[in-house]
Amino acid sequence: MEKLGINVTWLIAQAVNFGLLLFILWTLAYKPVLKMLNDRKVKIQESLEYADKVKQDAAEQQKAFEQKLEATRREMQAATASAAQAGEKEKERILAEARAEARKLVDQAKEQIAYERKQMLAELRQEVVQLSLLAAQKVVRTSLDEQAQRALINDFLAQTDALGKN
Amino acid sequence: MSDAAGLRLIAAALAIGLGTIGPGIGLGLLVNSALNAMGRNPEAAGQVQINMFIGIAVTEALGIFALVVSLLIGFKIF
Amino acid sequence: MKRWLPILIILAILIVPGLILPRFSTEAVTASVAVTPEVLFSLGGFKISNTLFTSWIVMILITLFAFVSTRKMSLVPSGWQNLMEIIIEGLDGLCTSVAGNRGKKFFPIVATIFLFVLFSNWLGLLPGFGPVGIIPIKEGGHAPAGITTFDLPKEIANSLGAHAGEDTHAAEKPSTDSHATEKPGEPKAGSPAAEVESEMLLAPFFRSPSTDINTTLALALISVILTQIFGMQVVGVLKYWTKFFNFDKIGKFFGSLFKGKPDFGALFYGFIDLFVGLLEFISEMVKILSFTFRLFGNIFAGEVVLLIMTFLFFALPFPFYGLEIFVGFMQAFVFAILTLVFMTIATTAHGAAEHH
Repeated sequence: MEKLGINVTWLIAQAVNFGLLLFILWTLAYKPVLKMLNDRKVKIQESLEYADKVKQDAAEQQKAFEQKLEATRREMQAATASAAQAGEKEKERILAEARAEARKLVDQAKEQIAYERKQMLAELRQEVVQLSLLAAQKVVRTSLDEQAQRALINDFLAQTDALGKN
Repeated sequence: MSDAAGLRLIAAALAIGLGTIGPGIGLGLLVNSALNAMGRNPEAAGQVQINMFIGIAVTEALGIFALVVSLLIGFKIF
Repeated sequence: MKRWLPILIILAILIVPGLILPRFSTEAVTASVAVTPEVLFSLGGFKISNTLFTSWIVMILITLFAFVSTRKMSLVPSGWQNLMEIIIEGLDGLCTSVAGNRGKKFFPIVATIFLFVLFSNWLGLLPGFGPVGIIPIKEGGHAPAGITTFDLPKEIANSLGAHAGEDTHAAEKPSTDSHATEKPGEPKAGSPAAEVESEMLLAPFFRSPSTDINTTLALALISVILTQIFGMQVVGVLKYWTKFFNFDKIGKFFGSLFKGKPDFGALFYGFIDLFVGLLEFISEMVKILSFTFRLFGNIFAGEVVLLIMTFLFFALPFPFYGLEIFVGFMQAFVFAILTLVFMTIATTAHGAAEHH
């Protein structure tokens, strides 16, 4: 054993050295570094989770915003449509009113004309009757009796009536 | 150098020289098949590697015996 | 032509000093290569070997590294902290992948083994580790060929001198000194004591702890003993030892014998169990041996190879340096991972076998 260099004192010394080194490294390196590695892992995990959360929040907000936007757009569309409808209705109403007014005016005018014509015809007839009577009186005063005279005038009037109607 | 000392040196050299032939071949075969296995099944590489190291340790122990015997002869321990 | 010029210059730089510098000398190699660590000085009656001294340097370096890297820890790592985190995270990941949730328990031991062995292996490759040291030379004697010597002042020589009474020189090699005469006292065959005395041994100031069997044996013992302790902790003390000494089936045989119906099958399997347990026990012993000599053999042989290459031709070690750096890392890794794997097996295999 001695020739291979094995010496119990040195053997124990090296074992003690190893133990010492283990202790030194444990306190100086392994514990802090492993803790640091763990801390970093936790931190990264947290950051990732936070980032995820932020992303989710942003997505939610985006969604809400879009929904709002959509609602507004729809409202606006509805408003426009209803306004257009109202306008159309108003227009129709005005048009109808105007038409009715016009018709009324036209009717009035027609009535007026008809009335005036009737009046004129009546006046004219009166005039014709008067004239005829006068003429007839002058002509037939001598030859005809009252009765024949009347029939003759009526016949004449009927003819003039047909004339006036045309 | 005396005859006895010369013979001792020859014995030591033969002990290590002949003694490492077997482990050398064995290690070659072992690593060969381990690499084959790892190439064919890369997912199991870790497990294969660990078993390869165990195999290497056992195989190499034979070569180490040869070294110890050679040292014992060379340093006149028997 | 222009492209070849730098290559020629490099070759000239490599070859010319090689022609001037010393040739191979067996005496110098014999003086430099020793398995036993040399005693450097005594501290209160306690002999300090150069490997022990160097392992203290290794410990100081590792402590400094750990201190510098964790002094100002920040969540965003930089510099030394980065390196330390890479090492620790890698080893921690390895432990977890091999041993699962027990990895946390094994991690400090595995990581310490890895760092200590890695630093020792690589430190031993630095120039000045190995070839610079003290060599005792007898009155009127010469240093072996290829070793340059300087006389040390008497006081320093005596304080360092494990070899009191001899003329101690500081030695450095290789050198151009090549006028060596025969060493005094040719060793006589059959008297090992005389041979050892006659050998001139260079005691380096620094020597990698991995080239000392004491270090590797201490590490191997720690590894194997801790493996047994973890095994007992997880599996249970008695249950763990039945892995090695299994009397279950033999007990069953005696039970059946008392009942009058001897069960020879149980006896047969009982002996097989005993034999398997014995093999397991031997394999634990072999683990110590193989841990010890794997590390020692690889690093020691590597340094001898570098030394001999230096003596053959001074530029020759360069490729081997690369190889030794790789081997140094590999051995540290193998020591650590085998410890981890054996610990994992000790805490699972037996328990799993119980379920069959």
